[in-house]
Amino acid sequence: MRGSPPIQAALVLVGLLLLLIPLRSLTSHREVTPAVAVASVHPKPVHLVVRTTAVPCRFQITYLGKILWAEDAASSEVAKDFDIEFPKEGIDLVVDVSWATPALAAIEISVSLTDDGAIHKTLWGQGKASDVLTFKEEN
Amino acid sequence: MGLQSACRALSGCLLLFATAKVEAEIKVASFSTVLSEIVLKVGGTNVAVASLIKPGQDPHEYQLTPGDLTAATTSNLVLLSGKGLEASYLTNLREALPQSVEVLAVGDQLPGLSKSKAGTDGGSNVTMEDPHWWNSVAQVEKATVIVRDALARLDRNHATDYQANAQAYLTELKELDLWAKRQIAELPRDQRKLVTSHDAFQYFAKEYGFQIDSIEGLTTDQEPSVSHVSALIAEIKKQGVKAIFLENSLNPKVSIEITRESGVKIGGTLYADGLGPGEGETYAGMVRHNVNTIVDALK
Repeated sequence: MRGSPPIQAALVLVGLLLLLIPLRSLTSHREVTPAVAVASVHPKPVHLVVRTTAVPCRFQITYLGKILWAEDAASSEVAKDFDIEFPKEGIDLVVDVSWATPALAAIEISVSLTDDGAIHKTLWGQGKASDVLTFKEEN
Repeated sequence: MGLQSACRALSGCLLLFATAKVEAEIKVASFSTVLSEIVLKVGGTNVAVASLIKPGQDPHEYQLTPGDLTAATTSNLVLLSGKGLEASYLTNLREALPQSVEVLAVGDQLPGLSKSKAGTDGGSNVTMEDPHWWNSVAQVEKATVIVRDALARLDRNHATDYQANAQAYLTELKELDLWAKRQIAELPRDQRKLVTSHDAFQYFAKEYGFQIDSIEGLTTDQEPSVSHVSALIAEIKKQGVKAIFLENSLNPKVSIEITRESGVKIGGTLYADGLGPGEGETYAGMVRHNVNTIVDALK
């Protein structure tokens, strides 16, 4: 290499600094979503209320592949308490319902975790209805 | 007697003409495997469909060929996925098509999801719309209605056929969507973490309550950066992700390396970019395969 030692050293230093620029751009590019802490979910007491516009009404509520509650309801409102895992992402309840009448009818599922309020979801159908209803706590 | 023979001969000729007349009313060129299925289901025997992107082919890598261009120019309707998927050849295609050909970018009429990614200069971010709308059954239902209306507009004589065919297909799609929801409901919502080869499942994730991450971005034409892969491995460990998923049209090299580094398993191979050989030869088969693979791996 030609030139005096101080000039050679300066050139090497400039070269190293130029290498740092692409390295910086590579390491600063992150697309990963914000970290979410993994927490174990403990069962919580949950109050379920089922209201129907027509009786008799046969319904089945399934949670995580297991039947949580199945009933032939003779009254327009029935309620039950359960201890279930309720993560902050919410829960999905699979609801299957059938009515004796083929006319349009509705079933409302209310889920309460506290005394403060309930989350309500309604399912409509003629003679029968099925859907997956998501219940999530308001932040 | 002579008159009877002449009548018989005439009716025979008419029958022959009617048989010859049973040919497609509308020629469709489709640049999407999913749209090919939709237009065949809705159009029935009244449409002849040239499926220019074949099942299993990566639509991100597709190059317009002279043969495909000829098929498009001789059609009445060209179906595009839209949302930028055909960006690399759309200008050439539009310039080459005669005005008589209707071009329908179906995805452009559907609700979209966007994601920002770093620009090519590594600096300012650019926002890209996710083109993989078919990974939501609800979006495919909307696409079916758009295709139905286009066919009815082009061929009013068979509008009632298109209406009836679309209704039958929509019923199948609604049943498919409910089936998917029921299967996915077996997974706790806090365990719905989906890591895939490229970012093709935003619509699926929104529909069915998944958090998603991917090795590559919205397209498959760029290798992931080292820093992105490192951050992804850290995130997989932190989030307790159970499995990562390969795709039928992509090289699994990086995904397999990530499983070695993170200790998670390969959950299976998904159909991300449309229909493909095997179970994914039909749209329902594709959805059922993807949902079963994801649920089995994350349970």
